Amino acid sequence: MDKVRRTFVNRGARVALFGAAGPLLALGTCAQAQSAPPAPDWAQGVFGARTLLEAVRAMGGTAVIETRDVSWGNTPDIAENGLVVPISIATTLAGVESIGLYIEKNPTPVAALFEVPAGTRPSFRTNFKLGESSNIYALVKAEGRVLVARHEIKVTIGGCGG
Amino acid sequence: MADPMRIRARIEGDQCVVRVLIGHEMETGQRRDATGRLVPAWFIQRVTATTGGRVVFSASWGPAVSKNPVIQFSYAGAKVGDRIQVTWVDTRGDRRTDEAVVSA
Repeated sequence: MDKVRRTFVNRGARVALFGAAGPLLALGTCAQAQSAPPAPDWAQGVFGARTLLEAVRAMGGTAVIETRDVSWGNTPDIAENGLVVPISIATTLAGVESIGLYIEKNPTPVAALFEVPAGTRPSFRTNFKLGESSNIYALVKAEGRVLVARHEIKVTIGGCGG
Repeated sequence: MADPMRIRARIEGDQCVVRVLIGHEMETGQRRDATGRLVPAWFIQRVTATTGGRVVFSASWGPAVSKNPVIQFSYAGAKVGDRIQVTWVDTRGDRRTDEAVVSA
């Protein structure tokens, strides 16, 4: 009796597995075929960096090397509302592969990583949240090197729950 | 389903300037609701834009991007009438793609 039941349960499980695997596999291939590359493994990559040097290293650099070839456009020096701070980053460096933004005092300091496809200008603008007044850094990867520029923003109302 | 993006793509000089407005909560995972419970993180992690099969914008985001994000970028080699598609994917795996036509 027990044995019969076991066989039945086993068979049931196998059928269930098989049944589930079909659609799962299909979904997997579907997601891959659909546009956009998959989301990066987040905490493991550059977004897991907790210091500026870690972020530089995650982008393939070895040390914090400063550059003056970054302009901050309309990025404010004083932000009245930390929830919406427009940050513009542009660089005149040649051969730019990617640009990262590091907001020193935020709980997750790496805020964004912009890749720069051929033909796209190394110039981006997006709104960010700043929990408090902070140094912000642009990390520019160009011709295999990572160069860093700093800007300071004073926030009068915080971006975290404030 | 998330709200449609607003996308404007205009030729200015030798560049096509693209401005995108996305409707998204962009929850950081740091905020507490009225009862003191943490609101789980929920934010856009990837944004890409393509035109004629060519990638012209590709970014990964953390939780620090503001609610209802705006993006501005520009690229060379666009013509009036080109179609540009913008796609985002968030931490829940939700995604949305919208399209705009490049204007003069």
